[in-house]
Amino acid sequence: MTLKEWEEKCADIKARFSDAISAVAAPGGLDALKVSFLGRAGELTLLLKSLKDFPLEERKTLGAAGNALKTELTAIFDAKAAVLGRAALEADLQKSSADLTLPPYPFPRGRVHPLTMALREMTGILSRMGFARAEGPCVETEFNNFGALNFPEDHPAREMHDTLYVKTAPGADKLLLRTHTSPVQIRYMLSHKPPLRVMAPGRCFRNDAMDASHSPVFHQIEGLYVDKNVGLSDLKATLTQFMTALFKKEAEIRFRPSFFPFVEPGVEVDVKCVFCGGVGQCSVCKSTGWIEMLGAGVVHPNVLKSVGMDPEIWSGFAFGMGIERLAMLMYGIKDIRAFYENDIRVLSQFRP
Amino acid sequence: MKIIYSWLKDFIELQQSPEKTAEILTSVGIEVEELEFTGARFTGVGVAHIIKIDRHPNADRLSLVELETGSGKKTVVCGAKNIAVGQKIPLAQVGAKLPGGVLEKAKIRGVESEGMICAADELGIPGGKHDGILVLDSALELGTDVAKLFGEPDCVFGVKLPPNRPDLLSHFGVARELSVCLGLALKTPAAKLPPAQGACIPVFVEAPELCSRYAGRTIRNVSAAQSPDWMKRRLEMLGVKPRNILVDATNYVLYELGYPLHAFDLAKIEGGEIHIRRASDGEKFNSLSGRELTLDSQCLVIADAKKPVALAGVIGGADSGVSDATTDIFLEAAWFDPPSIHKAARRFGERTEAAQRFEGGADIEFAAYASARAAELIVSACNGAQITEPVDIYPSPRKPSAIEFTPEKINSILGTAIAPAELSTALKRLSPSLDSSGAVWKITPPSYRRDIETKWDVAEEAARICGFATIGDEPRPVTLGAAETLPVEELCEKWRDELSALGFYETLGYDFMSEKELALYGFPSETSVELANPLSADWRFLRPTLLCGLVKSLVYNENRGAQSACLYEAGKIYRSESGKVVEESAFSGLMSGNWPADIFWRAGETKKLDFYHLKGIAARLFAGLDGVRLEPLKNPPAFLHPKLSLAVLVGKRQAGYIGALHPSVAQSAGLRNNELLVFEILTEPVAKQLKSTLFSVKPVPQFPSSWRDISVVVPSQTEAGKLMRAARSSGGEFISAVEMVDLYEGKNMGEGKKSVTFRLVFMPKDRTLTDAEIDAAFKSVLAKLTTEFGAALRS
Repeated sequence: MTLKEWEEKCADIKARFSDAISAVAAPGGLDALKVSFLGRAGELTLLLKSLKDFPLEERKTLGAAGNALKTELTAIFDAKAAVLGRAALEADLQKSSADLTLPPYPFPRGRVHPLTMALREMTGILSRMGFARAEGPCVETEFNNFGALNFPEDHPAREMHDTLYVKTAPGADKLLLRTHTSPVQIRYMLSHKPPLRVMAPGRCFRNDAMDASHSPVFHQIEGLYVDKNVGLSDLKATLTQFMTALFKKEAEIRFRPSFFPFVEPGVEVDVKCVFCGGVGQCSVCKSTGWIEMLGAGVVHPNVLKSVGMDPEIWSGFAFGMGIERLAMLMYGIKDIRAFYENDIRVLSQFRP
Repeated sequence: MKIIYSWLKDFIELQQSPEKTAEILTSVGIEVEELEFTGARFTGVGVAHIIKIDRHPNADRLSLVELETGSGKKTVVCGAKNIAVGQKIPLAQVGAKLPGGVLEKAKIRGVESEGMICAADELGIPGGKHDGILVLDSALELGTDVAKLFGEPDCVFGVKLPPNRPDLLSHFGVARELSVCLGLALKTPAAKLPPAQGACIPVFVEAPELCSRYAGRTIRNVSAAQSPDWMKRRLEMLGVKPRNILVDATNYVLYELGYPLHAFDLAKIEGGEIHIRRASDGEKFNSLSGRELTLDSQCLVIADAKKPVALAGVIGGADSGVSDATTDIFLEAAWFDPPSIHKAARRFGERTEAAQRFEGGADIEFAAYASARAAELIVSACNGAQITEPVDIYPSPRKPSAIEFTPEKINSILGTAIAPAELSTALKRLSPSLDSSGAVWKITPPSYRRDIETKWDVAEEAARICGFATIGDEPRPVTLGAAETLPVEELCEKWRDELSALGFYETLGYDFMSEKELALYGFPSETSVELANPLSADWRFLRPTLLCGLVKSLVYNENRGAQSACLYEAGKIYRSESGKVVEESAFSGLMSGNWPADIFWRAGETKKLDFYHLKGIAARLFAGLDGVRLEPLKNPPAFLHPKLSLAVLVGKRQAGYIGALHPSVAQSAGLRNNELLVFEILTEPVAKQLKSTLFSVKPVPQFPSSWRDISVVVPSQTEAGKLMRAARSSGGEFISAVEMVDLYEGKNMGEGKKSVTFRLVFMPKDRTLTDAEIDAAFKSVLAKLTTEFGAALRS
């Protein structure tokens, strides 16, 4: 073979390889092509082997050209194989007949209780406002529940709270189930120095007959702030911010004078109805435009005295709110007993 | 309490409508809970006569009604079904003022209507329904003003009063409050009496510590005559049945002035003398309410020479009250010690109107005036009645002390900037005694306001009079410290989220249990906390476990079709320990039914919940809480399966348990599924394991781990936990974990045998183990299992 003939053969292999590979449409056709051109007895392999018959100088030149061609053809082959392979895979995937409308495998999902949800909203807001968390026992002393909170003995004020008493040995201190979360105020003020800013959510108890709006067991959240020169306007500012955050719209609140023995002045706090905006027929605010939300006031000087604070130096505000009542408003629950029935058909309606 | 709108006008020039008045009352702390309108609240409605009824040409349900009004004929469109020719009906003509607005000319479905035939509710008649037109008495003259048939318009407010304001328990009191808040002049009801004749019967106050004032007078020659109509109507509007002038006058003064009076039939006062004394122990008293009360020296009575005739300030006697035969009365106006009245009223269950006013502290200065007012009402209704000189035993008149304050302090309490002049004007309305001349002001509260004692009370009055709207809501700087959290609450919150994400529902139970339930769960009543006044026998004890409530919630849900339920509760449990109440925070739960769901289209993959699901839940809860572990339970509580239960330990302290509920408990509780898994964990000891310090990440080995499975056959009772520990301890220095791969207890294992497969995982720090090293470790483990447990390598 002359040099020229070898070069022509080389060009011929390249041309025929290109034609042949363009014609291959399925991965199956590639194998034969590889064998006939690039295999051990393939045309290009044989052509490269034939180089041994050429003189050394020519062999160098032709060898480089031959190897370059081999690399080129292999690359073309691999690219074609990849394209055809991917196409075959895609065709294969298209054959899948999985029924995607089958229901998902179950990953069970429960819920926290709606009162926990409501409470989390409230404690979250108060905690961002710098209120620490405190708690106290449900079984309380008469002193913490009443005496220290300025409820005189044999006074009708104590009867605002129908109290459940714990049976105790004769002569022992009277114990009761706390009727409000306010005893935590006393405990906290006795164990902490002012200024202090604290919230205390918890369970309370009253000897009330059960009906749609009364439950002998219920929850309250208490807020207390004691510092120098704290007044009713600070309470109003705090509660306005709190209600705005809670109802996620600009809240308007109003105070009405009221009586709670442990605050003076004591106020009933109404919030401008967030459901009707204060106008029109509304079953929530009974078309009054205002929703009665909580009781609050300036901490009574006698309460401060009972925990050893000088009311001429320290002053504060306190508020207490029923969590059930709020949750009933927030979630449209009509009967307070629903919170204690734990009906999964109700609980599962809440968004996790 | 009920307050009649028109009655308030006796005392103040009230210009506001009932609705507006209600708003004002509510805003000053007299909460109006309901408004009940009475009388005719309309004008321009006359009696008319139906003379002809035709079908409306354009509407099947409407009629054209021709009416004779007495001053001409009118045709109106009417939709009512109960109309008939010949009826007398109320016709509102164009321009009539109805509760719903002014009636205007209207075309109804193309026909002009010259008025409206009214239904009761359209006229605003109390209790009026809209089930047809109001048909009037056929004897009425045409054209008569229908309003005249229903009386003057009025309104009764249902108000809720704070217990510290007994001064508001009357119409005069409410009017007085309005006069202060609105700055209106106040008129006092007349109490003009004819000249007194003779002396009153003798009165002896023998317990002055309980009776600070006792006033009275005798009125002779009276009769139990009917009260005047205006008095009867007012009493009836309040729901009080009028009886005769003697009783009605005292009731009227009670509601008018808020002062409780009592009229005795003088003929029934033995010895003709009055003693105010403590009862003797065991003394009997027959009350007006028809009960025989047994008294003691704690009770204050009004007595004649021989017997009690009234339980002072609470209730009169059955035998001494006025009757139709009464001719002479003794009229009492006294002031009794509030706490003792409160105690007596509560003790004997006689929460009378009188007791309610005395226990809050009636206005002692009002006694003589109230007595005179009632006497005037009686005398003016009984011709020829004669009054005696009054007695009035009031040895040490009350001297209210002045309260000192500065206007700055008032503004500080309220957070306001009320100008001193404005504040002074406002407080002068409350009490003209205000001295605002110096830097320190002085005010003596009026006698009817015993609740005003401190400058904080004065601040509230200032806000009430100036209006609570003057209080701003501008935020001011506050002092903030680091807000503390509670570890127990943090733990509970973490667990709430964890369990909710695993399919558990949070529940809330009541804190009460019955004796029967205590017994069912095996809690002795002696170590349980009992209530002195339980709501019911079923709720006599405080729960020593949350499980009872959880089981009840499960029963509730099972009865409503639930097959599976996983529930939990975070709450307090209580027990009594040597007479002391111990209250602990617990976190408890139960699992019942199937996992992960009752039904599921890969049917074979639904599993009945068993103990190992529970153990898995426990592992999730305790993850990251080093030092919390499960160990055999030495004395399982009676409500747990004796063999399927483990203790939760924190250090040496037992902090709860996990286990299967004893089937007998499940059965007695009424559960359909009695294979129930429960846990109860004391959160306080566990919360101590919450890490309060930061942790740092450990470096991981650069080389992958290697593993080898080992299957051995061992006697059935061999505990897997022991095998795993033995494998771990004998697997050489590079063993990093022993995991259980399989457990097989099939028959072909032979009687009393089981096969267990473990995966031994090796993870050296800096290289991959060679096969020879793994072989050696494998052999060492096998040797250990063989010698300790008689294990044989499974072929």
